[in-house]
Amino acid sequence: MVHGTSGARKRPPLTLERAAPLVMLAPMVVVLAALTIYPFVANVFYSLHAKDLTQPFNDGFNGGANFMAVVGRASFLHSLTVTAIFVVVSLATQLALGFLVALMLWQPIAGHRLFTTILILPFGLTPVALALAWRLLFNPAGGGINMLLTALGLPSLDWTASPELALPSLIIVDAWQWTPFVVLILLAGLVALPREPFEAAAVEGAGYWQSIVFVALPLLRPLILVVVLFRGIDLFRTFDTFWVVTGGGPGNATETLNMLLYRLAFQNLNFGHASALALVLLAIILVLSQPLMKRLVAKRGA
Amino acid sequence: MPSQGRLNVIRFIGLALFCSVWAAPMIYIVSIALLDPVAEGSFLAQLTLANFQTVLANREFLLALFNSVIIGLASTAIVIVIATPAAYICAVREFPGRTQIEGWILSTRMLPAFVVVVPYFLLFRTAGLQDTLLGLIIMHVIVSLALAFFMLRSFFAELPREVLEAAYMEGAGTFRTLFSVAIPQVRSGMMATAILVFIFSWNELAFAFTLAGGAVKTGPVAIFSFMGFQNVQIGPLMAAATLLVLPIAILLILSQKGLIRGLSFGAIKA
Repeated sequence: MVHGTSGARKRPPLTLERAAPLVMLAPMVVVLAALTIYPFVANVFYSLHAKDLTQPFNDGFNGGANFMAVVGRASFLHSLTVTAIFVVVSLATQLALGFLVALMLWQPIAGHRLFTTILILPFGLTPVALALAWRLLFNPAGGGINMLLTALGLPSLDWTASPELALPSLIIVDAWQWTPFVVLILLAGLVALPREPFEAAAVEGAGYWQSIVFVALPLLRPLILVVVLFRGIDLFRTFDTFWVVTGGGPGNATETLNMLLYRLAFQNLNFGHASALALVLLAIILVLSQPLMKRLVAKRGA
Repeated sequence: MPSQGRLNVIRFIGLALFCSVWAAPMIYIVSIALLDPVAEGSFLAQLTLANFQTVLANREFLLALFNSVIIGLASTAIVIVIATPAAYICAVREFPGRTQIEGWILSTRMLPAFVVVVPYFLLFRTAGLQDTLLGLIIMHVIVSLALAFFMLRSFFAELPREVLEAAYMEGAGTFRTLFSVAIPQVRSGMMATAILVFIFSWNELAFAFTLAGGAVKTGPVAIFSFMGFQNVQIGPLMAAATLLVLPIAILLILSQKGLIRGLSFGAIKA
């Protein structure tokens, strides 16, 4: 701690020092509160009122009608399922694949620099631009992927045009965009691991995979927690890729809760329904991330 | 470290395969943008800048890129200025309520864009901020404020305590220590944070096309003007995509190290 050191020559005014946390946090807290608490409160208000922009004069309090209308519709359960599949499958794929590639890069290898330079790009490149490219690549008629499949003697697929393959297509796009990020984070974690536990394991006769599973993975736990939390949150919120590649379709095959929210607000113009769904979505994310967040913040306290 | 010994060849082939898959869509964009599908002959004979000429002749798209730069720079400046002192004090000082405040800051990152968009859409209409640069600058602050806080916090937390204590012994207060000791030491980390904040603003779509998108377009919104109604002009579309991602690619490569360290939020003890 910086404080409590006796014998300082010219100690700064104590009151200012005491107030430092307050002064330094104030701008951040005020701006963040203005930008997040207002929308939250407004959402609560709209969610309890009729707020249909196509019927501007009917805007009274309507109790839980918006929530009933949103949660009660069949499309809610469908969107919930689509979201759950997308989040869980994406998270599992990206972690598994990301860890595998990170292991491959762990020890010195020819081309390391080139590989990591390629890997740093996908997560930061404008999702809209990449999603447009993926849309062309997935095009059933003459898209790059089907051309590749044909060249390899494999049958063409309908990809984004088929209700069954549209969601897997989006899972591929997200895995393409974010797995490299997971690779680089896990790789940085692997490189920073201490040597001794591995040497001890080797002395005890542990093979390569045993030392990975029983030594490396437990040591990487805090980092994996960070990846799961932030990737998980962002997967729930994914919008750009869905909007550009499938627009939630075909039909509503890839309409996640986030896409449904967009449709309720900006196509149906029913902001009451949209606000109710927004709160439901936020509640789901908060509840699911709570255990992870607790561990993360508790760890920081040390 | 466990040794993989003779697995090196397999490892190299595996990495080459994965990385080609990752490079493929990027190469696809650039090749569609640069190659004339009708021209015959060698690769060089097919090279053309016609698609880029089409894009650069589109004043609306150029203006959109300019808007993106302005919004990105302004929102990044705001984010860094307000997140830096907050991140510093949370990293170096224990005070009541710190854990709660950090938990709250983290939780704001969970808001889906549309939870924020819906109320602001209605507010912006009455406040005259709809379709303005200022409106988008404000909204883009929220996109990465929490992220910047945690990145900066992890950089400050890695500062050796002795350095900060020495400054205190010299009579420097918390503020002086921050500006004359801490900030110069984490300059590269701050740069990486600023670059990431800029990138997220540059890439942002949901706010940019719901709260603006008429008079004020950003790059990701304006690129759709190359989609057309009947047939997509894929040459110009991919040329526009190239122009959109090229500056970001350069920034990412330049700030590689700091980005990775910062994005692990201090979970990697270097």
